[in-house]
Amino acid sequence: MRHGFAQRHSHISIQRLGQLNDQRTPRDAMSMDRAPEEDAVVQSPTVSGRIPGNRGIWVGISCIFVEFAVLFTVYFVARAHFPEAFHAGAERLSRLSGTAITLLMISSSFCIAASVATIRGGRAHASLKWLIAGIVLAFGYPLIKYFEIRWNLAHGVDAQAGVFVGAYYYLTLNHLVHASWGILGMLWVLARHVTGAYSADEYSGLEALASYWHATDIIWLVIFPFFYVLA
Amino acid sequence: MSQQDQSPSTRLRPLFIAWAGLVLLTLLSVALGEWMRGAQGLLLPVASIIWLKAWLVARYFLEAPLCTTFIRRLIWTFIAFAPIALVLTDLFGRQFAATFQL
Repeated sequence: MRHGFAQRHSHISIQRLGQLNDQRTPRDAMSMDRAPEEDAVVQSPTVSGRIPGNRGIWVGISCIFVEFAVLFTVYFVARAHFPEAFHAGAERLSRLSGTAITLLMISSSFCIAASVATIRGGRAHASLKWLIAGIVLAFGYPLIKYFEIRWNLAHGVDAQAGVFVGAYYYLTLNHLVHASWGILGMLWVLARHVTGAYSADEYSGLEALASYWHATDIIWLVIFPFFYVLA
Repeated sequence: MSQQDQSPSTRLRPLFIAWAGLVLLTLLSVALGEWMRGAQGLLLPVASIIWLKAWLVARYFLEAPLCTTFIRRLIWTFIAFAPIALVLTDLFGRQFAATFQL
């Protein structure tokens, strides 16, 4: 099974390095002119475990985690300075919308994870069905957000409604932007899946999308109680 | 079984159980928000639920235990950050605000 470059090269272990050292004579060991392939092995970092999807997506996910850690810090600083505004804030928002978005996100994430699990098992048709279900559920997020913002504006919850609402729009709209990239990615992966690009041997694109979507899901699971639960 | 011996799962049952747990925890946190509205004791269970839900996604959907050390550390650090910071903000927020005025 192919999991990309990292998996193929991830089992260079300390034991292998030890074997290479054992094969060398004392003269070799004292010599500075070692074989190039030995140098390559010695200089390679020891890596254990796998990289879901590909390295590129994890560079992106790392950046997103850092970005949202900074945004969460802004939330905590604002919460520390204006505790009363944050305690009263959740009452001003539609808890139903927040709960519905959370249920859609975790259900969509489940479907995408099931799509990856079934393609690994060689069930491409089932994988495609799970992916389509995940996309349909994911589209519910921007739809509910649209109605939530309309409800907010009708109830005076706009950008000038105080520090709590400012932080709420700042974090949730940022998350919506990232979720939109994820939905676009799903459509791309769907087009590839329909054309038979994924199989039990090659599904790194699907898994990369799944990793991004799960990371987006984790971020929402943190945002949800910040604004809709803690009162 | 060593970590390298484990392979990614093809089973749907663990994913379904994780999803059911996530739904229940979501509904529990909403119910707690209603029942304990304004109560001091709300923050700790909500912070615990944040961590538990993020752990379920990381453990079963992202399969974090099978990932490389860097990815594992990245995920576990990120999902621990918000609950810990939330509790610290509740405990020391006023001192922080008094020290670092905006």
